Amino acid sequence: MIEIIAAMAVVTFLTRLCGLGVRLRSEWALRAIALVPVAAFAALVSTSLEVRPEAWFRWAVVGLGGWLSWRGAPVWVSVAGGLLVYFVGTSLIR
Amino acid sequence: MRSAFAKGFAEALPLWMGVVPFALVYAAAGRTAGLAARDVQLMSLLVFAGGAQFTAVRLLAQGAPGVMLVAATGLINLRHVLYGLSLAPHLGRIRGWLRGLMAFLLVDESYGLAVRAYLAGRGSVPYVLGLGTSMYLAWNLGTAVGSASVALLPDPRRAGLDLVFPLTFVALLGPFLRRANNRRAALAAFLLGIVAVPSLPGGLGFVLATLVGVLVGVWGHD
Repeated sequence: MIEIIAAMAVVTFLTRLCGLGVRLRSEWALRAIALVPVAAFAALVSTSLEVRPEAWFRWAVVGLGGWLSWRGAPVWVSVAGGLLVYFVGTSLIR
Repeated sequence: MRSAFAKGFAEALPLWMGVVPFALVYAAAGRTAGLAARDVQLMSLLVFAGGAQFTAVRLLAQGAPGVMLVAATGLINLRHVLYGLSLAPHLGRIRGWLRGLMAFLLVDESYGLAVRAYLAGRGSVPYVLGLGTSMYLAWNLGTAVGSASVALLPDPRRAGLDLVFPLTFVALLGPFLRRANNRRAALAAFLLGIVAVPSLPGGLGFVLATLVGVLVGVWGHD
């Protein structure tokens, strides 16, 4: 098992290191790379939520977190606010 | 330098709410799949990649060979290449060992906060290392506690703590959405994430959604 874990560690480290070691110079590439966080965050949000009718409240809570952030709230306020609404909402629904 | 490190460490603390419960669940899943407590912890100490570790444990429970675990790890972590490419222009010239340390500590959450800090003009290498160290500590503490108390753990999904993950990323996304081409990129990646991730293996769906989002954003550049 230790050999497998070591191989997993090496593969993970290399995927993290190889991007950090590359300096892009073309303007097109730099513009594309500037969009990576936007696209990655959006994909991370949608892939963390299930698409089924019963999950509507979770989508609404995440939408609320996004709105708070868009209005200028810091990250921790959006996270804590969303969780608070979720806890209160689910206790009322139950 | 020390204060930037401490600032990064502290700014990642709210994310412990989401990371620790999942480390607990990962440890419980690993022990249930037949891994020794030592191996469960060693994976968190050396690999430090939640998605890949969960997948490895699931594959182990199904009796998959080691080579498949390693291949799945590579697929799931492909997104880190994009994260690295995106952070590299902000780093300037730094020593090789520091770059290596940053690479080791680069996870979704630390990347998100790091890129936001750099774009706001307050990012630095010690700050990013502080973020990564905080996440590393949370993940490993959660793993240790989870390994030791497998039978006592509640399901964090039932408590809604899994929402910390999408809430964190939607909060990081919000400020970007003021520009039209960012909105187009985000919408494309968001929609494709819903469609592609369940239908493609490993992390390919996520990588595809991100790349298409980037292309849509570049194509419609303001």
